[in-house]
Amino acid sequence: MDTPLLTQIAAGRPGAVEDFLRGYGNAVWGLARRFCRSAEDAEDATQEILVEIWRNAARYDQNAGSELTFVMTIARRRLIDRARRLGRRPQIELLQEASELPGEPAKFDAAEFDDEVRRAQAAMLQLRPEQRQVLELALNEGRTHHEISVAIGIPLGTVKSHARRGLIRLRNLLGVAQPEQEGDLE
Amino acid sequence: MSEAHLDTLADAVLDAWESGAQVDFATAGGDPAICAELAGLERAAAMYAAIGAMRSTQVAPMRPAFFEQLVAAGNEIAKAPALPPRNAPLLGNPVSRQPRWLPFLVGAAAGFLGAYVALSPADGEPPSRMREEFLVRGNYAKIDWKPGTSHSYGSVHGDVVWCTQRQQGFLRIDGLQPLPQGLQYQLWIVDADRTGAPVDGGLFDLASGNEQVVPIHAKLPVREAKAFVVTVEKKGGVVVSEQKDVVAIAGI
Repeated sequence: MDTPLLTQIAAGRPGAVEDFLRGYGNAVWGLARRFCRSAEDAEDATQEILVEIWRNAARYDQNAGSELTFVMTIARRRLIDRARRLGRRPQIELLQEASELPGEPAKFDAAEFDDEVRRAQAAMLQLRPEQRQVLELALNEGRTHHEISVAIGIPLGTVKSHARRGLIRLRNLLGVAQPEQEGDLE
Repeated sequence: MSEAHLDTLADAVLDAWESGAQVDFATAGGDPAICAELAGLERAAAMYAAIGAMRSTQVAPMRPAFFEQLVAAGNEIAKAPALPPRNAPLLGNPVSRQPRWLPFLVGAAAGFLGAYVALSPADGEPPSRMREEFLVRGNYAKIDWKPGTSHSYGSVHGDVVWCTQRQQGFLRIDGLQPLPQGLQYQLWIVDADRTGAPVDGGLFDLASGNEQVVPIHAKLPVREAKAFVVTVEKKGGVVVSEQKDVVAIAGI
């Protein structure tokens, strides 16, 4: 197994930061841009997230999950914390209308990433279309359950149900949870 | 774990914007089963977000100059002495079945409950020692305090040290008195590269009029610090200071 870039950063290897940015920078930037109102805000958020990750690089354990998962978990949570702190919500104008959402997740070349990412992409394809639609709006666009309910015209309780079941199923498909919970609970 | 409890965790991960979506992360910190469930849900959410971010065609790529700025900031951090992995989780869970980075994750998740866990690289280390380590790394600005317009809380001495690349710094404060109940000191950072109000640098209390070291917690990245200002504010701080009680100023 290759030495993780975060481990290399913690060890001070020259060039590791640039390699890290080329590997994960656009993923963080892409999410930040969706969650922030302006490019300047997104740059602030991206720098805030990456500085924190780099400062804590030695705490990454590759046995616990991929670097990408580690980075994006922190990025997503920090973006939510930041928006709550600043009293700002994601820029809805930037986002697609719900009716334009693709029926199937778009494919991308994941060859440069690890197995965990490829498994996640395959797992997403196993979710129900309505679960994917709700998760897309909740996780990638930062919309509240209430906003999703209004956007796609289904009751709030159904939105919550699709979101919960979809996320729990995705987690189970990724092999994190107990086998007996692997089925769809609906 | 009951289905209802699992649903609560999923709601917290999915709908963190809503104040109603709450989960007891203090309990999560003490219960390995809940920690594991939470970590799994957070991982699933992160993977979904990662794939969505990578496939997005709506977002323009980051500016080359910003990329270079990040490389410089990262290299500054990377060339500093490596910080060792933490032996104990932040929330004190002695069980080791959980991922070793779960405490980091739980700390992050706790943020939206208003129980933000500071994740500075040396949590638990005395600020005075953190400052010494900071000084050893070099590449910082040091500015002496000057008294502000208010002298009601003593006369300040000491200095500010700040490194833009590392986005880290410390106040060394001597001569300011502990504040009455209901008031706190608040630091502001004047950033020449920003319009509008100064950046909130964090709240702090002083236990005595003797020298104390306070870490800076800038709430936004600071690109070009021009001045550091300490005001007295109501407990919990303010978003924009009226600057009625300015007790210390350090200008570059």
